[in-house]
Amino acid sequence: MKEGFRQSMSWLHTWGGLLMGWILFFVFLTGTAGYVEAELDRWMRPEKPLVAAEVAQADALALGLRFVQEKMPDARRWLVSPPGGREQPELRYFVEGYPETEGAPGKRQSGFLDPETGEKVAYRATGGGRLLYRMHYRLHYIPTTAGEWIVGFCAMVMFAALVTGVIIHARIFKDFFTFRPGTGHRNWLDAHNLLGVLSLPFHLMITYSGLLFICYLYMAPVIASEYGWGEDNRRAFTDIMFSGRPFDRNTERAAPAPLAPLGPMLAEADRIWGPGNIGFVDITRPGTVAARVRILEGTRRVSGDRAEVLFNGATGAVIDAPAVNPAPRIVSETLLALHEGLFAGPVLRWLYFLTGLVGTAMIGSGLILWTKKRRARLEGRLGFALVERLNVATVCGLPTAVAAYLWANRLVPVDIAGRAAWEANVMFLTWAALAVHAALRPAARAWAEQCWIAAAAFGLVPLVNALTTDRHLGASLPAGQWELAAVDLTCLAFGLGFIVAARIAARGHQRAVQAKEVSPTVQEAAE
Amino acid sequence: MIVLAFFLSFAAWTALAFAMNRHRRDMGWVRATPVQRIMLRVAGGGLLAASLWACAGHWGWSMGTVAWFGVMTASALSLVLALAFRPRTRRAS
Repeated sequence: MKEGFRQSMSWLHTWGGLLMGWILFFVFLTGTAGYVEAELDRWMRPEKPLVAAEVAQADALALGLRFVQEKMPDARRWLVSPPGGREQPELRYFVEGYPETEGAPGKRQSGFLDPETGEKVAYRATGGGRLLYRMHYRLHYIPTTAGEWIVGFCAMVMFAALVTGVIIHARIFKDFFTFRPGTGHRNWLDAHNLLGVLSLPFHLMITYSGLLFICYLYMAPVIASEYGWGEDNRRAFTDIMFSGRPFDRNTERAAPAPLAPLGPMLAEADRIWGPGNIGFVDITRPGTVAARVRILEGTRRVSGDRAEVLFNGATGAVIDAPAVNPAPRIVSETLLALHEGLFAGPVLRWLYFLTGLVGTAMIGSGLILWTKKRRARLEGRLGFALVERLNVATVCGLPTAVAAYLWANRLVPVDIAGRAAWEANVMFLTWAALAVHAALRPAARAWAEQCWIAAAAFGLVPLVNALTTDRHLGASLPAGQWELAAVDLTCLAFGLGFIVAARIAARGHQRAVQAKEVSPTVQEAAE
Repeated sequence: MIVLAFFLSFAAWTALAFAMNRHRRDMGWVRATPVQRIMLRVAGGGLLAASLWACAGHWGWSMGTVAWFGVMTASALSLVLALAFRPRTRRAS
């Protein structure tokens, strides 16, 4: 009975893991890149000054607020986020206009401002690290909802694979430190187990909280049973859920009234959270009696919530804060905050990045393990060949495609239309080309060749950067701009890693060739 | 403090690994007596707790706990790689 249970768990782990593994590899890899989203964003905007100007938050905020008030006095929403910390290194604005026709959303506009002069600045059009981060939960080229459904389903399988993986492992403590390199498929099993077990808390947390992110999508009937169906009801729910009170979506122009001075409101925020700790200022329906000014705290916490103060924009009076967070919301927000890791400083961010890579490698090693275990039995079958080729194209091809995305950021001409989209197109074209390559070459040779391609793609990123911009290592290192240098250096490290992988793959290829050369002689001997 | 947390955790994993005869054998060491094994495990547990304390000292308790899991993963991986790819001169046959 016990054996039967473990076997059925093993079946679920093997086949669920295999079928969803390729998408999960994509999700984990792009999600891991999402942990360094801000650093990639900065790298992909080389027009930014090498060393950011030191500007007091209050001064930058004042410039931003003046900009939106002067340039777009008729808007129904102004949002200005001052530069502060890693998450938002820029002075940004977002403006939403009144709808011209009934029911249509108003025109939206956003951009970057120079924090010293308040003038608009233009960077090259790029998806940045942000796009990689978005791919990890909504994929690309397909509607957001469809992507979220697919990723949600895969996350469910991932969670099942983690639980069944623990059940079938059975020797978690005995094999806790066991890695025996170079002994057939045993070493891939060891690697898969180690990568899984040694950061199991992370894997469980990231998968469960990932499911929690999109539960509003696939558990919609639960919400609808309380709030009713339809867009308005859904919004009523998300407002209460994520900001604790309804958001003013009224699109009518209320009776005009001048906006109360913002200075005292900002001073009040500084008094509560300490100076220079404002996340953003969000002004809805300015210039009317219904104006609201919402100021959000800058600091991120593990518990996820950020404090806010709300003012009546016409009178300048504080509107009472909503009731204390209910416990379930704190639990949910904590899990979501753990997933995103936005509170993490440099060291903790590296640890997040590392464990993310461990998760990616665990999935990759699981995919490879499937073929290693079945080679003797299934080699030559179409299904086996398909799995093997998809493995090469995913485990080697996808990282190379991400490197190509960085190349595209530097090499696609700055002034062509749809430039940001082309960066992503280059990434997926590269991936497609490598998939074709993997399909046409003998599998063992494809592994080695694609590892070399990946090594070159990553290893040459700093060179491409140096040839196309002056934000290269020679400039960033002396200036102590580590978040910029870290992208180049990490690419170099990946390049070296793939060289090691290529040598291992080449050895595997040699063994395969030797085995083939030996077998005819064995046949002859048998004759 | 971060470096301290890492090495406390690394030491903890080392103690726990050498409470296991498999890894002692790989190093060519004699088997551990039952008392030694218990002592190594207690030491390992204590060092892990000390590593959590060091993390909390740097990050505060809430963020420190998160970091502790990351530190444990990083140090355990380092130990496994060190054991697997250590110089083989001392290996007893």
